[in-house]
Amino acid sequence: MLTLLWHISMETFLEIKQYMHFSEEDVAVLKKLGPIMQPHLKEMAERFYAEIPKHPEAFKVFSGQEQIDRLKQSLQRWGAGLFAGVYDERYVQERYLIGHTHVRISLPQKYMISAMALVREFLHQVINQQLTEVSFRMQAHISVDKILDLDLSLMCEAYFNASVQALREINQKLEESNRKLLESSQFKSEFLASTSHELRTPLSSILGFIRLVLDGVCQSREEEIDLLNDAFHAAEHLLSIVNDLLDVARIEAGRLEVQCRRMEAQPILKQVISLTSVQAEQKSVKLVDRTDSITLPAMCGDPERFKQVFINIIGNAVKFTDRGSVTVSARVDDRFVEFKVQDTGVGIAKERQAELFEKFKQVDSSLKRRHGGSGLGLAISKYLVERMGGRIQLHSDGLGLGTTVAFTIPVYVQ
Amino acid sequence: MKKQSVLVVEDNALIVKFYRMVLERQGGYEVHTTEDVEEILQLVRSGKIDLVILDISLSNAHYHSRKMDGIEIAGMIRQDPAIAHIPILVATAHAMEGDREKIIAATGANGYLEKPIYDSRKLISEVETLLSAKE
Repeated sequence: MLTLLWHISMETFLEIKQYMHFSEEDVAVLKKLGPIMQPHLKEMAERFYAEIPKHPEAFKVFSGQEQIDRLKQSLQRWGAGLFAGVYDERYVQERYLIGHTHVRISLPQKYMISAMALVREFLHQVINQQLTEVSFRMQAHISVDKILDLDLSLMCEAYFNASVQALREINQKLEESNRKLLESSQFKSEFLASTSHELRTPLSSILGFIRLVLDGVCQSREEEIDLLNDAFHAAEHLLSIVNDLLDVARIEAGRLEVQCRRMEAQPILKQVISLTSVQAEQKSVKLVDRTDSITLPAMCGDPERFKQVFINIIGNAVKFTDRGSVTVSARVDDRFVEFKVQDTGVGIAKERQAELFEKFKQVDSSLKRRHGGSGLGLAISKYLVERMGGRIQLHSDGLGLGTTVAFTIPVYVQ
Repeated sequence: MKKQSVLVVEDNALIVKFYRMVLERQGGYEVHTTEDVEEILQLVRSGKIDLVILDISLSNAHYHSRKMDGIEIAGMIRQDPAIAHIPILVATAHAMEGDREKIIAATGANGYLEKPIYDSRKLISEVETLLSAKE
């Protein structure tokens, strides 16, 4: 929306006046003309609006008799203003406003100029018909031309200023979108850099341990197996990063398929919880399943993707909790089932919570580095949940205060 | 001859394990490892350490409860005249164009290895080169 510059300085007005040699004599002539012209202004408005809506540009704007009647009256007022003999600030701003209005309703400047020519022709006709004294008639033609030129100058000035303003605003928008593009390209470069970092770290262990085994550094078969085991886990970690990256690439390309069909969540929950309980037990973190006691309705979603989301969220909770518990619960209402995974872990600072769902921001978080993973899990989960018609939220009171992730999945309706 | 000592500053437990096996068994060095910045400074100041292998992105390195990365740790070592001369071998997974130059300039590192680091001979020869340059 245009923010209009509503004012023109009196200084500019006086300059224009001087440039046009608009003198006190002209003021006197116009004042004297006032009563003579007044009876003809109505006709001027009639003729103007018989003619001007045919203008191809004006045609789009002027519509409806009521509007035209209003415009006719304002044209008469404008005409009366020409002969009032008062050319003060108010007069200037009124004229200025007319110019602005043309920009606002998208009428081009050439329309304004041709409309003025029409008015000019009419006023000269009236002068010719009504004034018999030749010298006053000559004077009247000159003064009317001057005041009309003055008016047109003011309106054009306003038109120009408003156009500049409009361009400036377009320019600002362009600059803004340019800045956003640059930012996103910067994010991608950072993403690439941290992805390279994340891939190199497990690769170091995989290649390193295999090399040691091949070089015969180990002192026993057990030690060899131990190193190969480490290499294997590092490779699994690498695979999970690669899978997440592929998911992100598919999401970006709009090619990640998420079905919405009837699905039973309970067996999936059980499976995921028993999978993660091994990890939890190793860390002496209690995994509490409160979904046992309720019967969940059939839901609408993609069982594979639902499982992926759950593995991500419970996996994170266990990863980021060193002591205490991870509690899984569910709540059912008419339209949605809300799943909640609450942990007593490291928590997350308020100002970083929103970033967690963004793909290109959190890859390099130091927490993730300590705990492994691509750091893309939440961004992917958010996408999957939303595609299944639900919502996901994360809450933490701050560092050290635990984290709760809740997400909804719609109930299946036949 | 007394064994030479290497201090490994690295946050990934598996990578620490790899360094230990290579440096202790194949290189015959004594290996210390910690991410705690005060402990790092104390160890280096004690004169027990002949070379520091330093990772850049660290997750547990803190100094007076402020998080630090390898670049800041190198800065603290280089600012202390008593230990400023200690050779630092940066070993990092930052491997984008320009990272090496930037990190060497910021740390004043004597050597630079890019992860994945798995060639034990190369690692040992890099450590040997830096240690012999010191003497």
